[in-house]
Amino acid sequence: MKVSTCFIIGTLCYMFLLHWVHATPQKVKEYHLKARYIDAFIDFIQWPSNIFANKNTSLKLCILGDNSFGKVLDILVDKHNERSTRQSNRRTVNYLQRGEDITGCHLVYISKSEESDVQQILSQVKNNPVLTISSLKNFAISGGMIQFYIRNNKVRFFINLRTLRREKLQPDANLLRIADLVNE
Amino acid sequence: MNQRQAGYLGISMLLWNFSVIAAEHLSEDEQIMKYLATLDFTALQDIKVSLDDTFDIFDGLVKKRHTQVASGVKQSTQRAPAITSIITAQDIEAVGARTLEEVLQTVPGIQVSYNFFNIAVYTIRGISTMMDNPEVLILINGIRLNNVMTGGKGADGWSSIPISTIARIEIIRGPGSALYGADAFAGVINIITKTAQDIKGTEAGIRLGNHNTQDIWVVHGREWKGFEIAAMIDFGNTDGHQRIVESDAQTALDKIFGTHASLAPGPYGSELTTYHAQLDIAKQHWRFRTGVHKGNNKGAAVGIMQSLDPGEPQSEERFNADISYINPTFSNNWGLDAQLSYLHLGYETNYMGFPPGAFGGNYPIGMLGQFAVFEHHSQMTLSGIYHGLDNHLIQLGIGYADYDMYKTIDRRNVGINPFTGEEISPLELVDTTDTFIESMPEAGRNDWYGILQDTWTINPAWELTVGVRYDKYSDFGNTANPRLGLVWEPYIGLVTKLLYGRAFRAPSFMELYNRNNPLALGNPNLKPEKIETWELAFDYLATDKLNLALSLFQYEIKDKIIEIPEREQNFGYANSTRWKGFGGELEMRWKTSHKSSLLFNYSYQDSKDKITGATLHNAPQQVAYLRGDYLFGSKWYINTQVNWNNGWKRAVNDPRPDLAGYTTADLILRRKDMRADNTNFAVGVRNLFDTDVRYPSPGPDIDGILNIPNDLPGAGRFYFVEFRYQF
Repeated sequence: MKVSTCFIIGTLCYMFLLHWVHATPQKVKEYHLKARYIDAFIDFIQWPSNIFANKNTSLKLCILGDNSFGKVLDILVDKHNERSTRQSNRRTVNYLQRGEDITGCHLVYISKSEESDVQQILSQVKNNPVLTISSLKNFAISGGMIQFYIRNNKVRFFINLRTLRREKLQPDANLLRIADLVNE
Repeated sequence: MNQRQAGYLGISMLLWNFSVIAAEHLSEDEQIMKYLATLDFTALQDIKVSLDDTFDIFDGLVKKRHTQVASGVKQSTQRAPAITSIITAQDIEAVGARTLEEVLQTVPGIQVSYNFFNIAVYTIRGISTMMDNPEVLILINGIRLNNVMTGGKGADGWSSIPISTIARIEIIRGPGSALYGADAFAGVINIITKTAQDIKGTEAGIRLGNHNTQDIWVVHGREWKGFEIAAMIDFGNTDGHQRIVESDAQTALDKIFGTHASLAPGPYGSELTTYHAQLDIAKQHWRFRTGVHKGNNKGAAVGIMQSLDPGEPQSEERFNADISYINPTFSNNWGLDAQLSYLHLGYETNYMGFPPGAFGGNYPIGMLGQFAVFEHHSQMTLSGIYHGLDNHLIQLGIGYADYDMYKTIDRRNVGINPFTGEEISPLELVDTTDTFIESMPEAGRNDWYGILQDTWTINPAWELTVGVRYDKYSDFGNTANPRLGLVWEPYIGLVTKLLYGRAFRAPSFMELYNRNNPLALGNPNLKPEKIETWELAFDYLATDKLNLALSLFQYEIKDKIIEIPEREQNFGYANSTRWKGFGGELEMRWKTSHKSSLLFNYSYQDSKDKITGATLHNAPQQVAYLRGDYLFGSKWYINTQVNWNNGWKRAVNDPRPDLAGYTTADLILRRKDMRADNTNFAVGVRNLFDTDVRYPSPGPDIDGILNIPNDLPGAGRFYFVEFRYQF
């Protein structure tokens, strides 16, 4: 066998091994944790009481732009809906592309792909109780509400309390305790 | 690698596939989320994560990709009505490519080789011609780069596109004339350069390699007073591989004349120095782009007459400028695109056809010449996209293009002196420009065209695209080229496409007007070459980590232009044959784990001359490519690539045994941690095992002589280091 053939077969075996080595231990990725946080934000933020007065109103999560969450948000929402009782509203996840209508969303996650349109998107939901979240730089100090950031491979977030309260969204004290608060 | 080994390779890949699919039912995401649900805020804050987007090549390979080249509007590659491949800047970085050719080697259905004049030839599905391949349309940001003299990449095959300026490359294999007109024949390669959005800040990079190779670049993108500005400069220099050519045309002549003039054995001239600068300014719907490119000291490989030419005889220049207005919401129902563009191409060679002492000493300073050609291309296009009809997306476009080969220069020390009527003295160069002796007279043409296309979404599962482009050329007349694409997505993840397209290649000015060259006489009555292609394609997202694609094609080319013998040992161009071919490409993209991914593709083509029945020998029948990426620790990336092909068949009149194929392997190690610091460092080796890569040399000439009997050497082992810094 030629060296090159050995190399190909070697590479294959090596990749094959890597697959098994890495498939077993579970590694939490950034998007898993962000999704978990988004899920938790909904529980720790109160929308104005009239919004969900009707218990049949679903809470509409919208992901605008490229979906970096895979199926994780769907998994969370399905779990929530499975155990949801009359006390809590059902949730839906909507994956929207640039230009699609975001009115009616209660929570909008703005993907990095929409960087150039952020201000326009924020102006669309202004004066509406819509929780805006993003991982974009300077999001929380330029009109957004919650901004994820990474420090030492840990996911943390900024909350802009002023924008949150302006839209009548009431964060729980437990949430504020762990967040980094910023001002515009 | 022989066929049996290739078989083993295939079987092991399949088994591997099944093992992964079997492992899929345990959803990792579900398990992780279940675990995270048990944690409170404080505990969540302590979790260390692996980051999504440091260099997400693994996700990038299976993520939905978008293309615009297929139908003129942005859509997912899966559903686009053409067989497309997308290469992103991330892919380019991952594979450590230095040239466009190294990028194209990763694409199924494309085979890259180099000819005797150091021009990279891209053979798509077995279609190419030896000198320069005019069957492939090269676009930069949608603007045609092919020249009109040869119809292809230019007499020098152009001195490259700097890789540092490329944001993405969209490739169609198959016809594209229904949108792009001439020469979108075997395929279309659209190179999209970086904008301020792609750069964000400043990146500076340097790459050093053996063969005296240096690349230095700086790209910068920012917003300034409402303008998005991107500026890029790039410098590249290399001596090239310089592998030895054992014997050349002069070696054969030396035997006849009993001389020792040949410079063989000598190096394959592959040096090149390039300078490049470009600017991209955008504001709202407007965008202005301009660039200059200069290629100097380009080696002539084995020389224009297949006799070693050790100088660095070629240089090239390009200047481009375009302004476009793109407004997808121009009015309620209309989107509008308008563009004006200008391109200047210049090429010059100071060649040595044969060395001093050739032809029994008749040429004491060698057979020398200077040839240069300069072109202006100006284009304007206007197109509208109408979406006022439910389930229809209608595109209308008109355009005009003017191609002016406004200057050619021809100086030489051989032939008839047009001023005296006598033989030119072999001791001096005579300028025959603009005389009846000049081989390539100046010429021009223009083209008016119109495009109409409708994409009809019959229901969510079925989509039909019907389109036609009509071109009216000032020289060879009219041509209409329709397309049809039926896309069926029975369920999310599986897409089936049935495609039909007709395309044409415009005869080049060389084929039309070349004169005084007994080996390649122009024929002003040439018609365009035409190709009809049928394709059937499947794209299957087996899991969210595994994407499989299969495309099958068959084509028939009519009025193929080739050189045929004419009276008195002359050869001239004529629409005198037909080609046909069929084949397929199989592609697998697989995210094997959090930290590894694998890409594999295999291409098969069988192309024949329909009239003689002979197998065409433009490219290997089988080509395979394997790419593995692995993240090791949290910052170290390993990339391996393997290229394999089964070799070239010979022409019927070529007595040599078929040329053996080769297997090359590349290995790149990269350290990148964009969050912790701004550096990106890589070391790499191409052709790790220093395989003796050979590309076919031309077959016997009219006297039955094989000028380069041992074929053309390709690049041997090349190692490099690369450093990038993001400010």
